Amino acid sequence: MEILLYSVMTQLVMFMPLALGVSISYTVLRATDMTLDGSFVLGAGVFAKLTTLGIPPFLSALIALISGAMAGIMVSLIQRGGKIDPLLAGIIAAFILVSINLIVMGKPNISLLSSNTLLSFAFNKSDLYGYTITGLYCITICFIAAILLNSKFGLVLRGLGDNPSLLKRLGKPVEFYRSLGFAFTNALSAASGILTSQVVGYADTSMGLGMTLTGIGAIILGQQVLKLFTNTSSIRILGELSACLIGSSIYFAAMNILLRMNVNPVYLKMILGFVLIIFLRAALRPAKNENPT
Amino acid sequence: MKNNLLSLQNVSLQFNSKDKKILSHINLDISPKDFCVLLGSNGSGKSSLLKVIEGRYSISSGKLMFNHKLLSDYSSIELSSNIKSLTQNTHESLFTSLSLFENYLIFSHQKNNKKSLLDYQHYISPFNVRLGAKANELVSNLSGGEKQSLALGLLFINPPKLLLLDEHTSALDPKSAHRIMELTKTMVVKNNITCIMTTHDLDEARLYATDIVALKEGKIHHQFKNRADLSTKELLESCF
Amino acid sequence: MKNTAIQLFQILAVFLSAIIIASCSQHPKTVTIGIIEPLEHKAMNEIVEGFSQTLKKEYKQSVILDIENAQNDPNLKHAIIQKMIDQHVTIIAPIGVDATEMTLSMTRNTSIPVVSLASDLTDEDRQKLNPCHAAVVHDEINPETIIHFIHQVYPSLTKLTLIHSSANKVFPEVNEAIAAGRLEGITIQAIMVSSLPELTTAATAIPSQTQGLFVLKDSLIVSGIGTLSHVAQQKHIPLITSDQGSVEDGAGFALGVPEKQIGVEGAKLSAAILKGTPACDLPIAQMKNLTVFMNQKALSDSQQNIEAVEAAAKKLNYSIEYTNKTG
Repeated sequence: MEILLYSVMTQLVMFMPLALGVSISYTVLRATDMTLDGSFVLGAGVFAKLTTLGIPPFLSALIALISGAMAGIMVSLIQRGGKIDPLLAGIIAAFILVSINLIVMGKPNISLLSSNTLLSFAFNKSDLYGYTITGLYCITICFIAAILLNSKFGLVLRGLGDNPSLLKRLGKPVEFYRSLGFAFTNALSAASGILTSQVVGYADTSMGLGMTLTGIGAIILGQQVLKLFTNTSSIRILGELSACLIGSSIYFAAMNILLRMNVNPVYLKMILGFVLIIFLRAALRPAKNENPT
Repeated sequence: MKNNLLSLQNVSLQFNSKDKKILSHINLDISPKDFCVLLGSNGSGKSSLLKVIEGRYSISSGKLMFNHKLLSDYSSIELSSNIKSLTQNTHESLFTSLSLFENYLIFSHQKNNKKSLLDYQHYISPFNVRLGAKANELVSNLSGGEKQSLALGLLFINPPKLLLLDEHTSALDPKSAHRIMELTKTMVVKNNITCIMTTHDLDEARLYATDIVALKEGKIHHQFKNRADLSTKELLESCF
Repeated sequence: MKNTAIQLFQILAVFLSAIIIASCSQHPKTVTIGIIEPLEHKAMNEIVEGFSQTLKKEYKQSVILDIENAQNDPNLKHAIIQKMIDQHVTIIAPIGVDATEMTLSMTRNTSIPVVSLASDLTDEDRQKLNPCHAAVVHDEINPETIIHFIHQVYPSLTKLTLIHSSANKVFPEVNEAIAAGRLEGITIQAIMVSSLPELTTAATAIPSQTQGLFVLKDSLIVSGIGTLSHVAQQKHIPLITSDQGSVEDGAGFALGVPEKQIGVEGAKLSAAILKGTPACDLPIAQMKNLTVFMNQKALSDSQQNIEAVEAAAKKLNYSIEYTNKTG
C-alpha cells in the first residue's frame, strides 16, 4: 500500500504544475489549450540544453520558464482576440513548437544523466530525498500560482474567461490579460517539463505527447469528485487545487494498480476511460443547485 | 443651436445593399436629462437603433453625433464609459460564473479586503436588500429580478452619460419589473443621466418618458413631447 | 445523492480489492528480467524474440521475462520502471534511448543492473554514471562499413546521392559517409530534407548523373521510402538503405542489423550478469554479424544485378536475408 502511495507521489510531483496549468486554462480562461504539450517539452528542452552547455541550473530553469511563458504569448497572438478558435490556435501553436523545440534542442534527445541539475544532489543520496526535494519545488510553484490566482490578476482572468466583451466594455485591456493568462499557464507547463527532465534524466521532443489530454481527464475527474462532496463557491482556489490533486492522484493510482495487477497496458487507457465515464455519469445526476456551464 | 447630447441626422442602416433598410433616414435629437422612450412592434428597428447608438453597428449613411462629436471618432474605451446599456439578457451585463462580490470588485477596481466587502454591502442594498448577504453566492444562482438589480447596481458604479435600456424588464414578473423600473428612474434622476428606453409597455412609456418616439419599419413614424396629454388609444394608433 | 454515495462506495471497494491483489504479487522469488518496449512496433517483437531464445541457451536456470509496453506514454513508462524497481527484478532491459535514460535515472540508487538495448550510450557516458551499472547493446553500424560494402557491390560507382533528414544525430554520420566515400573513390552529394512533403519535392530534383541513392538509419526518410524507390525504378539506379524495415518497404538492399540480433546480444550480456559479472565490466556490444537485406523484386524493377550484391555479401562474410515484399 505504501509502495502504491509512493509510486503515485513520484508521478504527482512532476505532473502537478502541468495539471494546474491545464486547470487554469480549462476552468478560468475557458480555453482547451493544446499548446501545453509543446511548452512542456520547451521547458524541458531549454533547461536541458542550457544546463549541458554549462549554464548554472537555476538560471537555466528561469530561462526555461520564461520560454514557456513566451509560448503562451504566442498562442494568444495566434488567437487574435478570439477570432481563431482557442482549440485550433493551440493545435497550431503546438505544431510550431515541434519545430522550435527541435531547433532549440538541436537533436531529438538530450541526456541529463551526468549533468549537475537542481535535483541531482538529492537523487545522488537517495530516491526518497530526491522526490522530496522535487515535491518541495512542486509545492512552491503551485503555491505561487495559487497566490496569483487569488489576486486581482486572477479575478480579471476569470472575468476574461466568463465574459470577455463585458470586460472590454469595462475598459480592461482584454488582449493584454489574455496573453498574460496564457503565459501563466504555459509557464506552469514548462515548470513541469523542467522538473520531469531532471527526474527522468533527459529531455525528449516527444515527452509531451498526450500530457494535456491526460491533464484534462484528471481535472474533469477531480471536479466531479469534488462536486459530490461540496457545492460551495467560497473557497474556489482551494477547490480547483484539490480537483487537480484528486483527479491526478486517481489517474496515477489507477495506472499503477492496473500495472501491478499485470493488466496489459494496451487495455489501460480503455479502462481509465471507463473509470472516467462512471465518475462523469455519477456527477450528471441533477444536483440541488445546478449551475449551467 | 440646441444643446443636444445625441444627434442623429438622416441615419440609415443596411447590412447588404440588396436587403431592406433596417433603419431609414432617422432624424432624432436627444437633449441632456431626456428620458426618451422608443415604441414600436417587433422588427420596427428599436433594438437596432440602440445598437447603432451604442456603437455596436456602424451606420450605412447619415451622421451620428454624441456630445457634438462624431460617434465614430470616439475610442472604444471612451464610448463604453459614456454610453452603457442594459438588456433583458443579464448574462451580457454580468460575470455569471463569479460571485456577486467578485463582480463588484471587477466593476469597481477595488482590492479584495474587509473594507471593500463592507463597501459592497452598503452600496448594493438599495438595489435589493438580499444582495448584500449573498456576497459569495454565484451570480448564476440568483433569480431574474435579483440579477437585473445587480446589473443595474454595478452599472451605476461608474454612471454613464447616456443609458440605453432595451426592454430590460420584459423578462421579469410584473412586481420585479415595476421595482426595477422605479430603481432605474431613481438612479437616472440622481445621476443626471440621459436615457433611451425601448418597451412594449404603454403605461411604462407614459409614466416615465419625457419624449416618445414611435418607430415603424425602420422609420420614425411619430414623435411626441409632453406625453401627459396622450391617451392610450392615440398612442396605440400611432405606434403599432 | 444516496445513489451517488453507493456508486462511489462500489468504486472504492473495487479499488481496495485491486490494491490488495496488486500488493500480493510483490516479490518474485525467481530471477526476473524486466523488458521495456517504448512503443508498439514489429522491431520490438523481433528484439524480444531474439532475447528470449538466446537467454534460454545462455542461462540454464529459469528466468521470468516481464515484458511491458509503454504505448509511447512517458507517464506509463515511468510507472512501469517504478513497478519493476518495487518488485526487485533482477535486471531491467530498456529498449531505445528514452527508456534507457529514464531507467538509468530511476535506478541510480538501487542495485539493479541495466542492459540497454538499441541505444547509443557510449562507454564514456556510462562511466559517468555513479555508480556505473549499465551494459549496452548498440544498434548502429558506422557509415564507413556501409560505404565499403557499396563499393564492393559496385566497384565502378563514383556518384552517390545521400538523402538525409535534419535530425542532428544524422549530421556527423553524413560527414563520416562523405569522408568514407572519398577514400573509396565515391563522390557523395548530400541532400537534406526536413519534412515528408519536402522529400517528394527533393525526389524530383535528384541529379540525373547519380548512380545510386543512399539513406542512413534515418526515421524521417525511411518513412517515405516509397517515394525514393519509385525514383530508383525510373532511373534504373539502386536504392540502398541501412535498416531492414525499409528494404521490406521497397528499397533495393541494406546493410544492417537484424533487430533480432540486438535481442541476442542483449541476452548474452544479461546471462553474463546473471552469472556474476558486473554490468559495467562488460564491453559494449557492437553489431558484428552484419546482414545484407535484399529485396529481389525491387532490385530487378530498377534493373540491378542481384548476383553482384550476393557476391559482395559473401566476400565480406555477411549473411543474406531475402524479402520480396513491396511495402
